[in-house]
Amino acid sequence: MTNPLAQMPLIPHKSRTHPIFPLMRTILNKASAFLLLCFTANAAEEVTIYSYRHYEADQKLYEQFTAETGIKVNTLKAKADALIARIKAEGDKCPADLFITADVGSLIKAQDDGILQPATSELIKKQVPESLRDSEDFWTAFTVRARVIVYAKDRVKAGEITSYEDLTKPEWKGRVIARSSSNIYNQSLMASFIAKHGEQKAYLWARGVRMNMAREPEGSDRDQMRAVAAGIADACIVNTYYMGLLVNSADEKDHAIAEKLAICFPNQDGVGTHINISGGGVCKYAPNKENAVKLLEFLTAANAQSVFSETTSEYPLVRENATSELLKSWGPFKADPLKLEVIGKHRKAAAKAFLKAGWK
Amino acid sequence: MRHFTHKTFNKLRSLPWVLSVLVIAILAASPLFFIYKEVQQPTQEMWGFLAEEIENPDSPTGENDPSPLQNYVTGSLLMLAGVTVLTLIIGVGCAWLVSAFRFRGRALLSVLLCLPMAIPTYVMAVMYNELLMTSKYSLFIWVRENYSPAAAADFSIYWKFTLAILVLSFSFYPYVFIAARMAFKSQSAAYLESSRVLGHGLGSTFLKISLPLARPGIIAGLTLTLLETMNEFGAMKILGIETLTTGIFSAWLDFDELNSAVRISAIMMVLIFIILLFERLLRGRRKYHTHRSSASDFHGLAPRKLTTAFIWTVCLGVSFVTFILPVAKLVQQAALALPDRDLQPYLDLVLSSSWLAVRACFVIIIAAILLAYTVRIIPKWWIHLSAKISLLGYAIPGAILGVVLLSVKGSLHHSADDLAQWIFHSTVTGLIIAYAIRFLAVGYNPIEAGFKKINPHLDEASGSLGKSRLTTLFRIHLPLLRHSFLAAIVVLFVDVMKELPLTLILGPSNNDTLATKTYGLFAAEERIPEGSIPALILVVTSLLGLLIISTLLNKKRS
Repeated sequence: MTNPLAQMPLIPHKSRTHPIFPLMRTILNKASAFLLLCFTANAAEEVTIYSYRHYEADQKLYEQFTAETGIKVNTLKAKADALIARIKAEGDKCPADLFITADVGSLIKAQDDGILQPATSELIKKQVPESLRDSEDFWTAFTVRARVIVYAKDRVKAGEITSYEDLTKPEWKGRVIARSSSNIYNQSLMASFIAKHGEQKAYLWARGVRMNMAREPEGSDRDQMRAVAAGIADACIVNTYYMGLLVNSADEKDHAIAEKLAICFPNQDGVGTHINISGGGVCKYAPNKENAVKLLEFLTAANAQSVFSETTSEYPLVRENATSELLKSWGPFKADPLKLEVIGKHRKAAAKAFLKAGWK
Repeated sequence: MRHFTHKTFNKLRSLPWVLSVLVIAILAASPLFFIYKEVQQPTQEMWGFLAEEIENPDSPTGENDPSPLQNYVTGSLLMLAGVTVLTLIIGVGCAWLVSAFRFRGRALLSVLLCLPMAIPTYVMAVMYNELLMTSKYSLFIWVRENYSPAAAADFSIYWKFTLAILVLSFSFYPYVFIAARMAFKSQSAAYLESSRVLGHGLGSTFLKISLPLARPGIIAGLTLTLLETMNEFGAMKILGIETLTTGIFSAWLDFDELNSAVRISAIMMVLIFIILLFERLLRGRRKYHTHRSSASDFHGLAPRKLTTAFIWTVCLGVSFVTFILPVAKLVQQAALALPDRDLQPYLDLVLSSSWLAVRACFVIIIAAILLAYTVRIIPKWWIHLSAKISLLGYAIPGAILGVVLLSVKGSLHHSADDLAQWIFHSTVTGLIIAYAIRFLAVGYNPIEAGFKKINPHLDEASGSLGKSRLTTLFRIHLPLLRHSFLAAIVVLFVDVMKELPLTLILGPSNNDTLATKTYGLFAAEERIPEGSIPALILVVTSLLGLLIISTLLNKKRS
């Protein structure tokens, strides 16, 4: 087959005196060969995912899914909101079948923006507790993560801190740290406060925490825990699986840090600890809707559930079924039964409250 | 009548060149138009809050804290000021040392001083964060115990700003270094010798002769540095600095208000125009020609032993903190995760990322040649202006560029779906166009500088021999420009390899690059040792690119 690009008279024949020209020609050849390859790629069974989850464990699960079903998994990874913007821009030509994100707020935003469609199966309904999926089946969770307080064992007695509200008390002045308010997990936590107590009270909580901070917010969840272990502050707000990250880290120093810390599941006497999910929803114009549903079934099934708890230290949908020793060692806890759908509705109000409170 | 037809013919002859420049300019200017249009819209809800001061019940004077917008602007300005001072000191200082003296190992030091370019700024930030974490904690606790908790909180603010300025300067000083080195190198020895003969010492020759002569080059390098600083997102996020760029992202992603994000980017564009205006003013209208050919290039003095030792200490010191130390940390971290990792997927990533970068370089270089050559053959003010506009992509915030291109993509899907499918889904064409808009300035500047060095008489001679402009370009200019090509390709290759926001927003599916892989592990998973592996491979690949091209350059010279 002749290659149209290579024959382009881009470089007049006479001038091919310099060694760079053959090089250019080779490059052109390669480029056009690549283009042809892209066109002739076979159109077997496939499913395309737009995902915010960058976990390598996910990739392994997708490979397993392909091995079991023969359905090829294409992935595109970016920040959730960038993906939503992209799906919107692509409209009915969007190749994405499944939108996956690590936060319920983004799922609801996607739903509100009209880029998802209801899709479910009996199997999904059986595998996912009702509180962890959308009542109209626009999305479903496949892992659960709790936003907890981690404190330094040597400076804080067990039971000295029991709730998110405790962090605003005067005795915690200069002893608290947290990451930036632009972090989605903080925003969902805040949205849950707004849902329960209203904007004003939630704002006062954020301001109270900010006034008690030992330093301006900076760094990741992992950095907060390292700072607490080092003595910069006595407590911080983090997601549970980051603790798993330290325990399972390749860096020995992280194990020593984990040794110094303990987890407090807040508000056990009250409404329970704030939880969030990783989940997915089938895109409105999904070309392979059935495959997307199959993948959701796969991700919510027992096998994938145990892979998640072993690798990313996230909680499975049914926490009692956790197989990971680490998760078991943290013990059972009471989760906030607040309907997750409500959280998404207050997302913007949460960002506003943080801004007003000066939580950077 | 004859005169008229000749003129028409001339115009027709210019048409393809003019058209191509206009197309590039329009493509590059579309984000600006988008910003202009958005700013005309009514403000959204959060914009008011962004401009509102924040209550601070703890403040002793009862004053409020500055508004978020004020914080963004202050953050950006502090970064710009700090980076200007540091990159000028490091970049120009080192360039002068390796240019003014001729000593053993000068070539080696010159190369070493360029290497930090191979380290993405966010990787540099993570490594410095890891390196200095323990010292930061100990100092924080020391300040808290000896002064007060409030002083410790202030300390952490000073610390993070200092660290951020250092990290950015370490990453970006090579731009200034390379520009200054080129400028010093091409200075005529006659000037410097005259100055010495007239009784000026080395120091005052530097201040009075070399520095003023090198000013246009240095300012151009500094401008690139400042634009990079303005646009930096990853490192700022990691180090906890709020700047206009982080503000754009929060407005867009956290508040879900594109309009507010665009407004912030409009503020940023104003700052950028001020920077560009300063560049014009500082470069001045003066032209710096040398009268004789390069035979009289300044090759440097032979230094005394003590001076040589001093130069080595300074340059190695700079290279140590800006390159060796962060890479050593990277190696140490990668080694932790290496034992239980399969390296095959990374090798595939190396191939696909480099191949993507090579293709992008190719497109950008062609566009840059087209632009620079048209400016040369049709020296009209509006061609100049179009060329300048084409280069603005470098100044436009990456996120905004991404958003604009997404909307272009959307409308394309409606009007020409097959084309859109091909550009954005089956291939990386869309991504390459995005890179081209973003990095055109990087490729253009060295090529334009190369064109300027070619005597216009050559064009006239070729023209009067009856050769067309295209033939002249291929037979006269391109062979003479090969050094400029290579210089442009080096920087472009490395820049594209490191690029993150556009790759994430616009790439087709299954398009992992070393940069996105590193990002995923560093930022999303917070697994530093695992992320260090693709980061290290990225650095090594960029280094290999740099080395291959610099050896090619040296070979060509000899």
